[in-house]
Amino acid sequence: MPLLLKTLKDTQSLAQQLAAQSHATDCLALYGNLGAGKTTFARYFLEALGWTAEVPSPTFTIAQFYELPTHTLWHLDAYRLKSADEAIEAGLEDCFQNGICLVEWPQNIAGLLPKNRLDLHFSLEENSRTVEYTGHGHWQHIALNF
Amino acid sequence: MIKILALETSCDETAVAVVDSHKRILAHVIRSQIEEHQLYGGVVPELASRAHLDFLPSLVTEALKQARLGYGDVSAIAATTGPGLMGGLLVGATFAKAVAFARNLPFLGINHLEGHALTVRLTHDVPFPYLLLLTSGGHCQILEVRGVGDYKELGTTLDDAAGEAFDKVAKMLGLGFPGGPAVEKMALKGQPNIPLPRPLMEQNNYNFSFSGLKTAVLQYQQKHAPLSPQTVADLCASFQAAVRDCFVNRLTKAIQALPLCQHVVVAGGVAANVYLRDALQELCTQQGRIFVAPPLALCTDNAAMIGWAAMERFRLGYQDPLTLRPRPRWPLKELTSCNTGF
Repeated sequence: MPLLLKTLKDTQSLAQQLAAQSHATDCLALYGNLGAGKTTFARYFLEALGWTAEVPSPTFTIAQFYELPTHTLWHLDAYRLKSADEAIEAGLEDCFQNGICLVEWPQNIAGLLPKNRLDLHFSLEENSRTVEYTGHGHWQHIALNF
Repeated sequence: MIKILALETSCDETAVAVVDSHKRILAHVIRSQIEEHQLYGGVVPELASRAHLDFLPSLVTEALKQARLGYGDVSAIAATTGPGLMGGLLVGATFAKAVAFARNLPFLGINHLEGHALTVRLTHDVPFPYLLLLTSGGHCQILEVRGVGDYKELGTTLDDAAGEAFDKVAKMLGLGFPGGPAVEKMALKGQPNIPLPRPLMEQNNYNFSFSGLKTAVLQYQQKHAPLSPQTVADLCASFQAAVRDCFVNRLTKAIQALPLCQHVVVAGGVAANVYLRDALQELCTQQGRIFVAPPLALCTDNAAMIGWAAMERFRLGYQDPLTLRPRPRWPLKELTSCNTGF
């Protein structure tokens, strides 16, 4: 059952709830087409963990690293990668072992995603934004509401 | 005469160059050039620290051969130590440090963005301070370049870089990669008659935001699908005009705020777009400033710019310890001034 993200406030509230429950080595896999709201979610997630500076798109750099007051966080983007092998070559495996990971275009590196993860599927149709979620590992029983 | 060997491995390209203190580029090699010469067979992964590792030794040999130099003739060795992908940065930095240690050469760790910022002083005689629009696939910033190591960031993109927006729009419209030239070519056949947003233009700062513009293009495309070839061309022209307006609006504010900057410089891959370049040239003429853009081969990622930034630092007496660690995140505003007056 998709949740409706009526305004940016809803996206922010979703990000805040998830940020409060995330720990090192947790992975949030952000699915969705261009413009679906993945990077916006990532921005609010970082903001909820105390980041105040800009959050540039990680498409070009593949990985952006953030040192936050209580966590370290990797903002990863597999948009330009073609396989898990390329991600391993780029050193992304290490990221999953030492911080919270937000991953955009996770389908491009499917075999590499950690067991403890939350899949978030964002979509944008006719001006309405929705998100669907599936938890794996210790995220299995998560319930979101806002 | 000072000669510096420089390595660039922060992102996709493996590049090596040698520059001297007379502003001569004695060698300039990047991985793709070597590929064209078919010295290597097989498929090269688009992005791989191991690929940097595989290619770097032969590229260094090639560069020294081009420059007709041995390690013994080099005054210092430099490598990009950030920002970028940790794997690639480690390969370049470790290689440079190893050579520095073995040959007892000074080592310099260079900020990739400082390389872009100072390139124009290698190709032209541009005095400090100058205004810089740095716009590429990964960056979009307006900087006041006050001196070596002394950069004031006036504004930056809050989300996507301009080059990235070009690439993503091209992908949405099925125009292929790289997106910049594809959108520019298509825009020539269209009219900028589709209303698109100009993000942040009302705001009293120098920031950019291209994510919303990209999404607006997507929504227009979805709403009016299937698009006729003429509409695709019009959409490209409209998108490009929106980017132009953002650039011109933000830069006009910056030019007016910084009367001491006689030169306005554009660097980065997006500087290849003739439409945008013409708009910036026209803006500078109107505002009585001198517009300068380095040649394209030095606008996109390369090692000559790293060598030149190292030259500017080295001749002011700077070098780095071999314990220097690469920094994946390293904004220009965190550099410290080398206090130069020339």
